[in-house]
Amino acid sequence: MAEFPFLEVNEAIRLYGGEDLNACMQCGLCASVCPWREVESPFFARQMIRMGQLGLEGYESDEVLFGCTTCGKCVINCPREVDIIGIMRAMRSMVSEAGIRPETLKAASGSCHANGNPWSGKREDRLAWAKGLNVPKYGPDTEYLLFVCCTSCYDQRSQNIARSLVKLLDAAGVSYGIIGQEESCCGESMRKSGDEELFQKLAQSNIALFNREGVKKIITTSPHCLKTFVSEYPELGGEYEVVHSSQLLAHLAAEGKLKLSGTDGRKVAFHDPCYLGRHSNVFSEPRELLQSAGAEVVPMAREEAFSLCCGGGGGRVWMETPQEQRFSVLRVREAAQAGAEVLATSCPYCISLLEDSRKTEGLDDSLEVLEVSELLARDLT
Amino acid sequence: MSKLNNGQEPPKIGVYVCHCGGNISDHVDVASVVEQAGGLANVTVARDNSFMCSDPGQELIIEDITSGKVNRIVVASCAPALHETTFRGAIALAGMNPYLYEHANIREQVSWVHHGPGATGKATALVAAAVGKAGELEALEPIRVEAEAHATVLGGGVAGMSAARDLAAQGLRVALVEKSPFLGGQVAQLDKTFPSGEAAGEVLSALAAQVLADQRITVYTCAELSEYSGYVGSFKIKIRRTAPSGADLERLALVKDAQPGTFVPCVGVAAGPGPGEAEEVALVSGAIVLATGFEHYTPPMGEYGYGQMPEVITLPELIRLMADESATGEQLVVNGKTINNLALIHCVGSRQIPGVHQPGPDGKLNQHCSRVCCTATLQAACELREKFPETNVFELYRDIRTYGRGHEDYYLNAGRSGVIFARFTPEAPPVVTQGGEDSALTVTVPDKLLAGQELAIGVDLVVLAVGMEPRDNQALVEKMKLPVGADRFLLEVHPKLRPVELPAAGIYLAGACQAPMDTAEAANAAGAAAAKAGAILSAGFVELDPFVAEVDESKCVGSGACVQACLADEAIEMVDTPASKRARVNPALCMGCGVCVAACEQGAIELSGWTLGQYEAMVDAIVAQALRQGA
Repeated sequence: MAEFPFLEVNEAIRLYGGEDLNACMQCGLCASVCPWREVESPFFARQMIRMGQLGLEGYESDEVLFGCTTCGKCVINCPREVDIIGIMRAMRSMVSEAGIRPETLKAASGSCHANGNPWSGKREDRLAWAKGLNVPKYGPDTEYLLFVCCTSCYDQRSQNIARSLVKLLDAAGVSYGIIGQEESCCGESMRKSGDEELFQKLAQSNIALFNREGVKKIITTSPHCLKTFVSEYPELGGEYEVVHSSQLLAHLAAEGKLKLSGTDGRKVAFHDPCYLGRHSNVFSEPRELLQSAGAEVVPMAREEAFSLCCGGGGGRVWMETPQEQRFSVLRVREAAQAGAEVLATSCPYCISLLEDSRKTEGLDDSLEVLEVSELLARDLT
Repeated sequence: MSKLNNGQEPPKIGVYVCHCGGNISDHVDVASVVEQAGGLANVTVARDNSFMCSDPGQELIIEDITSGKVNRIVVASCAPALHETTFRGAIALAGMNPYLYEHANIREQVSWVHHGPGATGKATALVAAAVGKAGELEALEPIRVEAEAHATVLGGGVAGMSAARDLAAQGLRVALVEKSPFLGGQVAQLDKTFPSGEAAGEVLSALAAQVLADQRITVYTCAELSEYSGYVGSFKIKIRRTAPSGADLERLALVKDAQPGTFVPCVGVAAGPGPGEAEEVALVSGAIVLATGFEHYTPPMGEYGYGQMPEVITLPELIRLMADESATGEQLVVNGKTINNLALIHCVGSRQIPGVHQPGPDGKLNQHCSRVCCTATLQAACELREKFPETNVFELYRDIRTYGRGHEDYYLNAGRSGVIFARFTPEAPPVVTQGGEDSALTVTVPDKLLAGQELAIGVDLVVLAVGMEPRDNQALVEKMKLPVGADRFLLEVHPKLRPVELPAAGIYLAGACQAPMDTAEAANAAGAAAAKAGAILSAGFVELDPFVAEVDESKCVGSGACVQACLADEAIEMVDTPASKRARVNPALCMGCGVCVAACEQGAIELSGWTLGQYEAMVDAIVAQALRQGA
């Protein structure tokens, strides 16, 4: 049966944020560099964009429509610099509005609406990670707002990232503080997974809060918060000087304010998080920090802009991915092949997925997964 | 030229063997070739060098000549097409006659095709043959032909006008011959040129103004070449002019105040009223530039519905519709009908495939890519989207080939402006049918970008991006014996080494008569043709290689067999002498093919530089070498 192009859909996708839809010339490079080519998957970015261009149906399954992890590998390779992630987001938004959305994502969105975080944690528990630590409150004389990712607020494993970071900030004498309960999820993953309305709500709530508190500078623990604050908040009225923890720590170490003993001595591979590396062009700082701690940084098969996504972006951290399709499995294997004793990274999503795969791959004894702050905190003088 | 050596002294032959930086020496034992050459009769010097064509290599030859060691030269290296003239030049620099030279090709004929010990044996034999011939060489002088400082340009489009202007700028008189009453050719049919977006009328008006204002250029409109003879430096041409009639008269009436230089859209630039009655003009020209242009492919009845459905038109027709300034509004309107959706189909009459496409009336397919239609189509699509934003545009293509500077921008901008592309294979092209749900026509096409899923697109207009075809030039081709390629376009000598020249000296190609080209490329080719023609005409004479037939009148009996056999018109003819009729060669027309030599039963004809005695010396040398090697 012949299909009839339905250009109203094409127009709608562009209005939903996929302005570049028709700029795609269908060369297919996006699909060939996509991490999904490493495993079995029905998701092909070119094909999905093609259906969008013609307004045809057939891409609405979870595996296709919600396949993209927004890792950005296709974007940096696209010969026309098409905003492919914008198109994916727009197509998800259109379908999400009709209520079609993976159940697990619905739960995360619902929790964001109710609690301001996607992990079904209570608002009043947002500071549970700081228990026992004397973490300062943000005030008029504080230089930095420390914005801890929801994952590190509520996930037990991830809380250690925030706890390690504040030790380092204290040691370096940084003026920082937290706001806590009133903070909401940055909204990055919610927006990428197609819940535009929710993103607007979260972002506006944060911006109102930050502006009320007089926030000028922000430290983020997650590269996802970093990217969203830097690229998406300004047009909504939230303009701040934003750094990722690894950027600030590298700066402090270089200035001699953060003193490390340099005695780690282990072989450490660094996994570049998509949103820190490809999306924010931060490649050298975390590696410099690991070296300052005395680690021997060993290269993996894919590094920096060629890094392989852990699989957790674009909302997929809340979706179930079968064992044989997990990129994080491939990644811990790469680390093991590189002879690493530690797989370090700098993103709470990456930590969660790599930790999980380390266990399923039976690497509990030979490979440790650590956030850069965690490794550094052990090396404080 | 030949003061030092006129070929009369006893031969002292220098042999120079080139390594070609390993190209030759990796497979030929050069030292052995040099050693054996050194032992041949008359050889006084035998040397080798990494690159004989380099300055140090040429210096070797010059030093040996000036010091009196040698008076004939053999170089064994690459094909003579590459460096024979280089070495002749070095010899002339040393003050010796440059025709006392023989070339042995031991690269293309040996090291590139033979490996192992046999390679050295063959190289040695070829060098021995060259040495044998060198001993028999005579000093020759180039044939000098007086050159008329006048060029004739056939065709008054962009290429022809550019060539005429550039020839005149070199001080030459020019006749610009145009079939129609107007200058401008096919470009006059366009609205805007790519990639600059400049109006075609402005480009043509500027060019025509230069041509019409130049006293050295005479423009003959309504004219065609009727007679042609002669040779480089002295072509004898007649052009026939006919009084304009019919549609041409109507077009001429559109010219404001009948003023030459006026641009009439879709017609061209006026260049005078044309002759009142038929006339013939005789010219003597030193060179001829062919700028006869191309024709648009005309789809046969029924190809994509053309000719059967009024809603199916060609791209030039669309361009004319859009150029109409009264066409404004949210949607394109054609013949009173609003166009909601429009489909452009690429590669119509281009890149045709045997067994897939129907041959034209001449039984031929257009297998070539017309090169300009992709960008022209994209340009039209961009303009449509800009002028008529509520008309949706679909482009159905096989491949997009936006190869030129700035062309890709049209492709990107077409996408960004909302043009929807679909890709088809030649085996499953789009099918245009009458009627549709809300449209005049329906185009169905299996979309290669969707794994062959068939799309049905309701459209109100289908536009065919017709390709470029060679103009039907049969009369001219026969009259001037022009070489034609397999694609039916006029064919240059060599696409890289001699890209605008024909084998017959003094005739040049400019523009789309040679191949599909865009306006800029046609102007480029015209500039090259004008420079080439100017280079030979500016000296006042032309020097040709002396390798032509020569008749020994004492042996000639006037049988005329040579005239019968001759492949070139008038290169050899019978003339009355006091004794009786005798053959006489016209050196400027002789191609040096040697057919007459073979045809003459009296052995009265020899080919200078390739005499029978020289051939015999070569054969003797090869046989002697074979006997030596066998022993």
